[in-house]
Amino acid sequence: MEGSNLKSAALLEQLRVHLASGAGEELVEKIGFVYQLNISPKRIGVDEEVFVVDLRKGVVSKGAYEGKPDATFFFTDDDFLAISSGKLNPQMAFIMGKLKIKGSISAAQKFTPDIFPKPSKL
Amino acid sequence: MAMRHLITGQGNCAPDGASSSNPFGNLANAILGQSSKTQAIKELPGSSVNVPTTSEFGAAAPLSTIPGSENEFKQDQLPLARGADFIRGGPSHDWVESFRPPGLPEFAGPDAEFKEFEQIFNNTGPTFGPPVLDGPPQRVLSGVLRSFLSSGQAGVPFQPVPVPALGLSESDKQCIRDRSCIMARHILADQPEEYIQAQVNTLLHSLDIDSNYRMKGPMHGPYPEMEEYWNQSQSAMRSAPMHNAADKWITEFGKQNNNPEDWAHSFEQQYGPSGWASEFEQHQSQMAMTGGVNMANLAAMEQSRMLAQTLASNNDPKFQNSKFFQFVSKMSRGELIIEDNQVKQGSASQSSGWADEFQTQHNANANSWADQFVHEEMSQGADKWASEFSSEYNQGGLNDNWVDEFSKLRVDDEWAEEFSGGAFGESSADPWVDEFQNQLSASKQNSGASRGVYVFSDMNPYVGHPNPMQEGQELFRKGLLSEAVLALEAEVLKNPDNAEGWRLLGITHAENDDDQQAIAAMMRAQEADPKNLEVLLALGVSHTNELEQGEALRYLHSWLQNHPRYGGIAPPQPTDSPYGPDVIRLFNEAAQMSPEDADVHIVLGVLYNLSREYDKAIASFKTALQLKPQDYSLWNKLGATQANSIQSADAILAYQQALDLKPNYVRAWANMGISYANQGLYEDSIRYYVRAVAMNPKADNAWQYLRISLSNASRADMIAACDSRNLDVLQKEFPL
Repeated sequence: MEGSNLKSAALLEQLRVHLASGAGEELVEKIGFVYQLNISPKRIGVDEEVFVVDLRKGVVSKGAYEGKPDATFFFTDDDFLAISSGKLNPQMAFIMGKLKIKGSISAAQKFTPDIFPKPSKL
Repeated sequence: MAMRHLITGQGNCAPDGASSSNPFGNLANAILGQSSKTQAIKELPGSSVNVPTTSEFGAAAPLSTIPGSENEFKQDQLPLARGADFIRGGPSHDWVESFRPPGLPEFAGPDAEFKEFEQIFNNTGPTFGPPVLDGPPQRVLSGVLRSFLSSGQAGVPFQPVPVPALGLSESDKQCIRDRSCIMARHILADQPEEYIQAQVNTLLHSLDIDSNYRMKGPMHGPYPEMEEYWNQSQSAMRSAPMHNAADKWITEFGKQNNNPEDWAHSFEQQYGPSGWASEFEQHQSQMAMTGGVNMANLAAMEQSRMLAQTLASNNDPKFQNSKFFQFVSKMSRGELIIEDNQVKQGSASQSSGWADEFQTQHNANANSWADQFVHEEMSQGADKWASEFSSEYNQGGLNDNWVDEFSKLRVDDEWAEEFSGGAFGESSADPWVDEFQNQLSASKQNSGASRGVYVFSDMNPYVGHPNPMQEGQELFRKGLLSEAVLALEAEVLKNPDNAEGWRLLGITHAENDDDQQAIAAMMRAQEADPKNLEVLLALGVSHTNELEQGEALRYLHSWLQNHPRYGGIAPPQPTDSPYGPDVIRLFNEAAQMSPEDADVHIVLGVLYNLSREYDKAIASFKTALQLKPQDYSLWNKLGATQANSIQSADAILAYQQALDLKPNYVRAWANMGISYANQGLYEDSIRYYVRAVAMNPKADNAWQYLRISLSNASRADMIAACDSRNLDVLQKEFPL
């Protein structure tokens, strides 16, 4: 997550710590898929940064997944934050083209806002 | 020649006069009879979704089917004449006074109030001098409201009083109901919720107002139904101004969206009970259906399958190998479909990469769907809407609110982009979209940047108040945050250059858990007073909360540059993108210079939050707290940092400190909920979220988190109440 200027990076860092704290086990049990997130600052596909949320092992890392992730998501920084905070329904995002999916749809369906810890406000 | 004529129209295809039972005829009808334009593709993927046909659009859809919209529509239709009286008044006393008819002398001066208090202390029972209950209705009402307020302030239960018929209009009742709920919650913040409810109900009952009406925040714009739609458009794309034609469409979407958190569930509903993937592998033909082939094709497949069976029973090898038989059997397997008299390759034959398949199918469908929507729109008078829009727009005043509302949601450009180029494809780029984009660019020029624009509340009762600044400070001090916002808005409307007004407004929004508005207000404060340290710090904090690192760093850096004591440390020239570690180093120097300055430690704590060095941030905030133990916002900062570094148990202790110092601190209530939710204690988190939204019904974040917690706690039964923002139901169900 270091060296990324995306807002999403802050959230993913928090998810990383969250998963490491033991909360990960439950998610691994409940979901058990590997997701790759291709997040772009403004337009999907332009200057994208790649992160992996591995809910098989319970880890988050930067860079493409070695192997085949169960599902890959493409979205912009803001849309990812909106989805992860519950502002934007992933299904609606998909219909509106704000979210593109590659891979297994049934794995993608389990990618819901409750995976993410909510950032607390200072 | 059309295929229909080839088969049905010519008798020589069906000798023996068997045209009615002619399988070819049935086939042709199945394919062609149903492929007319209106029936072509009317469905979102998944056959369970019904998009109404054109004729259904004609009949006015019942407005009440839109969840949560009932009140707005009612209110909109009723005369607001007397409500206006009410609106011009102030809070508490003004709130009472606003019901006093202009001609009458003030009902009770300060002396009268003292008498009331004396009575409280002299009498053993909690009785009040019964208010004057004769005279004109407004005077009676004023008396009742006053005695309700003073009973709340004195901490004794309100006694129901018999009141003559007042002849209040529906809008008056709505106003009284809404504001008494909000006021009671604030005045009686230390009391249990049932008590507050009981008090309000007693008051409402005395006034013969139905207390079961849904409690709402005091804000209703001139177009409440539009606001409702726009508020919800974050999760569902809803287009408010075209309600007549789109009502059903909106309802449809609403239904689909009932439980978006349960994505899997709704997908299952749409695509059949068993997993879509296995469905595909086992039944290619069904895949075609779920992927989006319409019912006409399905019927055609059914027909052709029957036909193929009939044909297959003929043992003639010559016939078995005929191209026609192959054609029909291919159709029966869905490998070929017929659209607009043209044979096309069906989807089922391309079995590679089914996700891609889905996407293309989906896009194809979305195109047609969008197309159809646009056509229907046009026929239903989209032009009229557009011209209505522009004429509204020229009226200025009212419409600016709407534009602000619009830009607050920051959906404008993306949304338009989506419509013109996104998933709906080029096919929808027709006059309607152009019209829309023209209007958009016009509105953008007027409203400036879509972000950082302060959005004022509609119908502010403090406008015209003699000293809204003082009133705002007073309300803020008492912890009546939502009321303080209104008073301070009135102040900055009156004196747009009042930096202190904007600053306090920003602080109030931050405490009310609304960083967008806080940032907008603070930017105005900074415009008026560019070197105000508190403003710069607040901007740094709010941008940190919004995860906007660059902006946050910039403001915190200029805090140091503008500080009279530490200005020497930081190079004075402005830098657009200061480097995080450098800024932290400078602040550590400042902390060494004067270790007793709590503010330096606070900024350091925020900076370490930005760089996600939470342990250092916690240490900085703890140092600052030793210097400023009564600073409730500092306790909240410590708690939030601990929560973000997944020390939720410690965080809850810190929040508790903050709330002990400031019971109406909405942000701390919401943070409390987050900490419980992050520990998986969803039931507990719900109670705190509900408390936060009860205090500030505009706290969108808390509403969204509440929804997530409800679904995680398997309380899907309460999600409808959450979506319609029904505080009554939620508070009853989840008392704190």
